[in-house]
Amino acid sequence: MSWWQNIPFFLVWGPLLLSSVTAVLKPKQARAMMLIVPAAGTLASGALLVSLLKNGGGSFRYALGAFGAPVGNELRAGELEAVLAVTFCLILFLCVLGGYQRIRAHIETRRQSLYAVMVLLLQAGMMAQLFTNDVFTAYVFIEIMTIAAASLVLARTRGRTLFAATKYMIMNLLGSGLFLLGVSILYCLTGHLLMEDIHDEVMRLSATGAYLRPLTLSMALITIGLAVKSALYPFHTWLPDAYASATPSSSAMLASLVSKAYIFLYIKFVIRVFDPAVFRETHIQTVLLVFSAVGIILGSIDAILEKKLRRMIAYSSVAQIGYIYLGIALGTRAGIAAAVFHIIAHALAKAVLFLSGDRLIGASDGDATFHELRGAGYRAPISGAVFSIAACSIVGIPILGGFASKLYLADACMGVDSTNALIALIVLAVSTALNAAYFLITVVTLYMKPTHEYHTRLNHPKVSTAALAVFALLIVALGVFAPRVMSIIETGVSHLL
Amino acid sequence: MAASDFRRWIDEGGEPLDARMCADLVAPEEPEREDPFAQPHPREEMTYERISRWSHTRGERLLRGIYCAVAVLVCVGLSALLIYTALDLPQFGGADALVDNEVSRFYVEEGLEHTGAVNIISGIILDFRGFDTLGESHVLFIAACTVLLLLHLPQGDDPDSLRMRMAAESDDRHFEPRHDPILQGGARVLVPLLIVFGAYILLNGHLSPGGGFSGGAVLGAGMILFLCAFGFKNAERFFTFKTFRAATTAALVFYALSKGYVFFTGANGIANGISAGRFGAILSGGLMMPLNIAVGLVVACTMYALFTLFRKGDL
Repeated sequence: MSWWQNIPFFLVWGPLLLSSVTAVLKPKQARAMMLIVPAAGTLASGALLVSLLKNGGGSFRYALGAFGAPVGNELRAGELEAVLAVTFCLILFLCVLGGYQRIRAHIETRRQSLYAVMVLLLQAGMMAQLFTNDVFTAYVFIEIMTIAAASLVLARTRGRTLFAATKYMIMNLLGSGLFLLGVSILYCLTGHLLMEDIHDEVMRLSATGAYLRPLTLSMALITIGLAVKSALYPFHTWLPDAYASATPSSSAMLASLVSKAYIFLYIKFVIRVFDPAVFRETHIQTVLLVFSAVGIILGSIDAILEKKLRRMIAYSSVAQIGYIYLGIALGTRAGIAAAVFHIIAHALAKAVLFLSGDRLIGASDGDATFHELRGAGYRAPISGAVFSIAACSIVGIPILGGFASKLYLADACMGVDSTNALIALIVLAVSTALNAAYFLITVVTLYMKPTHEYHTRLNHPKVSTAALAVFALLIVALGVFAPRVMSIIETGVSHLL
Repeated sequence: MAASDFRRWIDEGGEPLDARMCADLVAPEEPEREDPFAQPHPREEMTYERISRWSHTRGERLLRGIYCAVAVLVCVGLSALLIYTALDLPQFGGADALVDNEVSRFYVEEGLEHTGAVNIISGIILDFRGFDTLGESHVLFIAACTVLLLLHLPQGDDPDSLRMRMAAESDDRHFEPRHDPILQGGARVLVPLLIVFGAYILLNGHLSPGGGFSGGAVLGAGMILFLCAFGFKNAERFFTFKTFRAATTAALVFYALSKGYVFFTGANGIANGISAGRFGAILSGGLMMPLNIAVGLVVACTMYALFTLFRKGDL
């Protein structure tokens, strides 16, 4: 075993260990931890990705303890996991850095150490979702992520955040519960918790046709559970409050990372636990397609109707999550690769929208309504530019990451020979127009002539502004190097099974 | 929060709650600026008022009725579906139960040999599937941290924090039974028993049914009973916020470090030098006993902290 194969373990274990240390640190040191640990995670996962590619790719297992799976726990990592680990750690780091000043302003000093604990545990949870090869380990870290995310919302003690966090907690615990029920039924049917072993049993069961109903129900429960947690359309009601009221860093983390980690877990369930063939057979695929198509359209309409900037960005997440599920619902390898690409593109764009959007609101005397945002692009030039780039990426303007991801999604639809693909294509076209309707209008508003004077003087630390600029560069880079990234993702998807 | 308050909170949604909950927590931030464009036009106001009256009385009743009906339908439907499916599952312990496979056979037949734990459940939890348990103890930790984040009152000496602490104290006094002879008499007998019993469950976790989680829960219950009977003044002699932080962090760091060592050496094929010991001896099962103590400490501290934080916002 080579040294770099230890990296996935340390990516999960390191933040766990440091989280309990951070709890007793002074606020200043804790804030430093919140930057150092995600940065170290980025470097480590980058090293993992480079080593994997240098050694010819493929995926490897890491037994936790002297006994490997199925007796013990196990991690598994391939190109796809490594790419997403780099993305998640980097975005986490940039989210903290980009909203650093707001974290200090929004969260009382005595609570800041605990906030840092939540960030580290969130990182550990996300890494565990990426690397775990065991469905029960996934559930344990889902619990950690759920509580951490709720705490990130309520760390800013304004009345609305408590309401939002309560709503978040209720909905997400429902999701966890349904997921756990599904996993229990699956365990009862197959007698395994390791993903590949469950897969073998599921294939055997579906070949003989035994226990088809419990199998379908367990898949449905896992689907609904993870859909609630990642805010697929009819289950998204917790989202706007949570995203719009938390401190901007928290909103950015929740919108761009937490929901994505759950979606990646779902992708692993579709490919590695249930087979895509079984997934198609049970018609859950069709239901998912309908939900995501409806979500894309209605999420966009909700965003158009919204009067406040941050809530609009939050509703646009609902539509974007719909795109990702659309890719999964196609059920083909190309569809899933496109979904993973969209995870990356959306995570980058959404994080920066929340961070720069908050600065634009700050430059408009703290008023988030569109009328007051007029001319905010002149008052906060860098934030305005970065916001515009991210918005264009989400709409799908060429050379940006979002364009490439929509192209791959459309391409994946073309590869499927059924009416489903036609519906998906139509939805893609309509929703792009709708996306343009709200995001481009927002961008234009930012550069319109303001109706009155504004007094707020902005002084953001230079590093935070640099973080936003790095985000914008990454969005452009993702668009420019899209074929390279996509080829890694495609090999990664083929190694997922 | 009283039941009626909670009812109102659910019924009226977020807005009316804000003021009340802000008052409970900290000084509210500056209020959001009034939006001049949100003011309804005088003529529209009548329509608006009519609609709002309707939606606040009949409309709301109607909607709530529909909402309740749908909620009940969904719950009953889902329960029926789950029960119907459960009837279809392989019979528990039956001949065709797939749960009885090579994994469980390995645990039963070779678990003792590999872990040295006579109580194989502890062996599975702390050794074979130790990674899950490492995550699970951090779930407890993060739950305690969240409650701290939410309810821990400021500890400073400024007038604001002092006032908040005083208010919490006086609030608590209504509920704290002072010098209740029955409670104190009972606690005098029960607390030592509970502590000894909890310690026994912890220390024997690898030999008999029990372990960190159950032992810690018993210890925590003993501490809570002591607190209820003898009050905060006496409890603070041995357990303060500092004790809580030190104990939890030390236990978790020890746990994470020792399990990290075992995972790392195991995965890399290095002998870890931890022997299983003589079966049935108290010092056997490798790291099982110290790990049980660590988990037990985390559980006991978390239980006690949750109780006191909810009661008066401090330990």
